[in-house]
Order: sequence, then C-alpha cells, then structure tokens
Amino acid sequence: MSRFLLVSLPLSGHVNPIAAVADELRARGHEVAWAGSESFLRPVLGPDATIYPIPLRLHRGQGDLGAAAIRSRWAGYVVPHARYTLDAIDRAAREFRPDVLGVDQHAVAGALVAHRHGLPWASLAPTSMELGRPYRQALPAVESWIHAHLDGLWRHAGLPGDPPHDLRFSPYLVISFSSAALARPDLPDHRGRRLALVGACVGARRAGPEFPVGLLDPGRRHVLVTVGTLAMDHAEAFYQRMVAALAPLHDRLQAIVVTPDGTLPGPVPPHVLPTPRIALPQLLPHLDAVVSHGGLNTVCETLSHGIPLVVAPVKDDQGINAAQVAAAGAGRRVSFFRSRPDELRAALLDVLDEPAYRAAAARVRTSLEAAGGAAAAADHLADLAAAGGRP
Amino acid sequence: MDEPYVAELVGLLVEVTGEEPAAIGPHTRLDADLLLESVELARLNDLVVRRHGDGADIVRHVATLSLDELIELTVGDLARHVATHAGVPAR
Repeated sequence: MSRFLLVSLPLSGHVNPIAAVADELRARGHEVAWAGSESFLRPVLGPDATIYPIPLRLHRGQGDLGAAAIRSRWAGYVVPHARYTLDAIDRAAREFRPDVLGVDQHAVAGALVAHRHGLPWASLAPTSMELGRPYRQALPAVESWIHAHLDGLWRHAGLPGDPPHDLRFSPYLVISFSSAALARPDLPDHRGRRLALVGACVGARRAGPEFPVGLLDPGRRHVLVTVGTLAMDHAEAFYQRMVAALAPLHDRLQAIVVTPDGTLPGPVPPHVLPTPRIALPQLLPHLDAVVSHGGLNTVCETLSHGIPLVVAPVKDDQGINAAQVAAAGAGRRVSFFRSRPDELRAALLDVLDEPAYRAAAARVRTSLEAAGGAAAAADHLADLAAAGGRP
Repeated sequence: MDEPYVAELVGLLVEVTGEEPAAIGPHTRLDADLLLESVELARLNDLVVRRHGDGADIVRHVATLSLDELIELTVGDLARHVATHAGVPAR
C-alpha cells in the first residue's frame, strides 16, 4: 500500500473530482493526506480526512474576464499562492512522507516540493485550461510570460538552474478529468508523457443539499440553469435574459435556476424554480437539458448522463469546453454576455427537440464511461507509486 | 488617416457582436470593454481578411502582443494595424 499527498486549490471545481479519486484510493487501502486550507477542505472531505493545513490564499481579480483573467490568474493567484504555501506543503511532505504527490496543475508549489524531495508526482487537471496548450500557438508572448513566472517560482524554491520541464505538466503522469470524445481533437503532442483522460469523477459527494424533486411535474421536461460559483458579478443580466427566454415555455418545461441566494429579481413565473445550491449528481437523472457556463465538471457530469447542453461560457477554460461540446454535437454554444432571450430560447428548444444532440451526448457518455473515472485515476496513481518513480 | 478604418471596424464589430454602434469607438478595448470572445475575434478576422487581404490578419497580429498589450488593445489600435497592412501581401 502507498501514501499519496494531494495538493489542490480552495476551489470547488478543483477539489470535487480530486476528492472522488482520494476516496477511491482510500477504499483500496492506500493512505491519503491533503495539503490545503482546512476551513475550505474539511466540509468537502468530511471528518476522517487527513489535512495538513496550509494558509488560505484568496483569489484577487477573480472577477476579471478574457485576457485580464489570464493575468489575474497567474500574477494575482497562482504565483502568490505558490510562494505563500510552499513552506507548509514542504512541511506536509516531510511529516507525511508520501510515495507520490498528486498536484493540481495550478498549485505549482506542490510540483516544487516534489522536485525538492525527489518524489514522483502527477499533475491533476481539473480544468481544460492548459491541456490543449492554447497559448503556445495563439499567444506565444503569453506562454513566455507564464514560463517566466514558473522560472521565478523555481528559483524562489531554491532549486538549481531552470525547471527541467513545464511545471504544469508532470513528466510522470498527467490526469485530466475530461474525456477523449471532448478533448482529443484539441490535444497537442505531449511527447510520450503519460496522459490519462479519466472523465468525470463524481464519487459520493458530500455537503450536497437535496433538491425536492417532488416539485417536478412528470408531464413536462426539466431544465437546469447553473453558471457556477465564479461568475456571480456578471450573472444577474444573464439570469434576467434567461428567465425571459423561459417565460413562454410554461406548458412544456420546468426550469431549476441556481442563484447565490436562491432568489431571482422581479416576478418569477411558477415553472421557474430558483434554488440556492444543488448537488448535480442528485438532479441529473431528472433532467432533459442543462444550461451552463461550461465548467469542466458540470459539462462532463451532464454528458455522463447523456444529457445535451446549452453552454454560455464566461471565462477561463469555459470557452474551450463550449467549443468542444459544440464540436461533439452534444450541445449549442451561446453568448453569456450578448445572447438575447429569443436566441437563448431557440438554442434551448433546439437541444431539447432535435434528437441529434441527445444522440451525440450519448456518444460522449460512452466515451466518458470507457474513460473509467475515479477508478482509472486511482489505477494510474497506484501504478506510479508501484513503479517508485521510474517512468 | 485611420478614421475610415475605425468606422469600418465599428461596423464589423456591430455585425459580429450585435452591440449598439454608439457603444463602440476608437478607445473601446476589445478585451475589457467589449468582452470579445475568441470565436468573435475569429469571425471579425474573416471579415477583415476578406476585405483587406491576408496581410491585415488580426489574429496573427494579436499573436505578437504581450499580455498587457492584449488587455489594452483598442479598436483604434486595430484600425492602425489594418490601415498599415491593408492590401499588403502577408509575409
């Protein structure tokens, strides 16, 4: 049996799939510990999880969009987070003595600690942001700017020379929570690096409120509208247009709309059901379509039920995910900022009424099932531990 | 000298985004103000290249910019690029 130290960021979309992998490893008798913010992780992981606390670092500039979001992600979050957490993660590695580290691609301090201690490590990719290397071709100056930051972090950790490889990609193993049916067309050559596309990792998600599914009328279809947790500054106008889009559809559907406080401004028609939080896995068996910002977990979990999507990407990797869903034929892409109510309604009715979307979503589901989920991720990590760091 | 190109780009951006023409001017930033997405940039580029040839390709121009320049890129900057490269064959 082996020991795994997991290093992630205090973001739900990042921690949820990794937590499912941790459960799988523990079920097989491995020992798992986390280096992370206790106040964030404890409610997600439950009372039994071993957590080596690292300071909570808030994300400045989280409301930025577009290219400004690239700058705030790196200069405002990834780099300060790595500097701020390096010592605590190093201490966790010394105390827990892991065989393998599992490191969120954007928790760079985990990669630095693995190098310091000569330990094998896997990169975990809970977003599609880096996998297709989108900046290398399209924005080479941005790619160089990121590398300058990674070089600086390497020196800050007191490691000699320059990083021997891109610290976002472990030379041992990269685990992505996407699937071949979505990501393969965009994948560049990772040159022999072991790249595992394991699909959605759901597990027994904790802290999920039950939605009262008794409210759902079996004679109508059911749509979920959710834009994740990071876009709230910009979500209000979208919700207004979405409710206007849904208003005339009362005889054919009910729509569950997730908002931060579970309310929507103005008059809300009775077939629109605002709710503060949902556990997506509980709700998915009841749904016919999902309208989403296109976070990777929402997309993969939805498609693993063969349900088509309308994706309105806001920022980060969501545009990549939206393009991949559309290319797979499993949904429509709309504009979060610009689509009018009639356009949103047309896109939603299209994915509900046109069987080709559901058929394509079913094909992606097959690919996601074949990807193996948390069990496959645990297989890869256990193999890495058994090989003792030999590639 | 770039003014006709500013007016033309405003028209093309209205076509691509559906925004009001009055909302777009030479100082409008494509990233922070217009929130232009990559698919919209690609559509804009198709229209620009069709009118002014491969030399005016704005996706290729954007690829030469630093992150800070990308964030601050305005309609006026793009008009200057198109004015300089219109009808010039791509290198």
